Amino acid sequence: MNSQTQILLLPRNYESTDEYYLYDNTVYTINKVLNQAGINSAYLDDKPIQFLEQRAVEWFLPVLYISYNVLIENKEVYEAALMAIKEYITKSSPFTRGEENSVKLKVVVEKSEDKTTKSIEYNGPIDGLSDLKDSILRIANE
Amino acid sequence: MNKTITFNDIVEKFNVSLEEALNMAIFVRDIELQKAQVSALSIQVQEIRQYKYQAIEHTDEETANLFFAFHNLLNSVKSCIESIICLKENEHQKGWSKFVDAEEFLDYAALQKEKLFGLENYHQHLVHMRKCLFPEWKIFNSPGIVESIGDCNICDVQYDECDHIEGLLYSGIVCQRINRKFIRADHSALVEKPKDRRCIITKISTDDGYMKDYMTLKMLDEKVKDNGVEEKHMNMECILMTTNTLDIN
Repeated sequence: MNSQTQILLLPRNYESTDEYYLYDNTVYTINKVLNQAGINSAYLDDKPIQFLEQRAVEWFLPVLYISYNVLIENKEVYEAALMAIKEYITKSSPFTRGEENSVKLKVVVEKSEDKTTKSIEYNGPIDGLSDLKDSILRIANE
Repeated sequence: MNKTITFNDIVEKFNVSLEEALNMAIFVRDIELQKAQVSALSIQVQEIRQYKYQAIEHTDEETANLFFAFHNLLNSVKSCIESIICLKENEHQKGWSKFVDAEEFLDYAALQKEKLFGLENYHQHLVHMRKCLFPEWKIFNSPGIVESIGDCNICDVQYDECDHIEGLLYSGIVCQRINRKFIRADHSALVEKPKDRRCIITKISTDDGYMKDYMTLKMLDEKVKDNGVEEKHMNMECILMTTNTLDIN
């Protein structure tokens, strides 16, 4: 993670020793959404090559990794990231699927400079993404 | 002599076409009239696409986006009528697939929902039609596939190399990832909320060793395949995934 990166997009198997990282197929899309919202995001490896397409109406988002610096000094970055993602998903979700449209998202936060992490998983309606910032703050302060 | 057609003429023509088409999207209408309406809609969809391409040439993004919504809405009603025709001709499975097409075309038209009137009413028409004409599906297939990211359909470069975002509308064209390469199957799941509602169970076995159509419940002249398992079990056949993509752009 270089010093410019504000949010890191992790593969599904970031904790495993698999030969290849496997990303959710929304990873490039979310990277574009974040970049166009002025947020500097990057991937765990140089260029993801394998993607999992899960044919369900839920949005399977890449794991978001928020560094200690961003968590402490740049709170508005992850708030803006969540808002940008929510806005995109709201705009592009199928009209006829109504409340079936939902989101699965895991957020990993770096709790301290020694890289201790804590994670939170969200599985629910699109609107709930806005409230996730409070949960992130809560686990950061635990 | 060439006659110039204005933006207002196109909108008026679209409104007339839509009204006529909706009048045929009712089960009891005569099947031959419905087939004629489907043919007329095919032509109207192509006409609106041509107008959209003219708007794209003139870099009139707003008009191109509106015409995108028009041809997708007409295609939705066309698929709805085709679904009814299929049911009348005892092609139930195809009828369901066409019905899903109607809903998905509507999803794309709704990318411009703030500019279209009556969208919610038409959506409710489809909801009622689904409830009256088809069973309430409890589970669907939802495969998980490992694949490459593919290219952007708008600029033809690898998807990660451009600024277009999948699912958003750009001058009358929705960004989609194309040329995705299949790497391997990851899993198959039975889910309540699939992305593709065409992936249904089509046949199940009965206690007397025959298969039954899952949608019509009609007993089929087809014995359960012997797979060497002695314990009593249920066989089912289903649509694992579909590869046909809607012609939305």
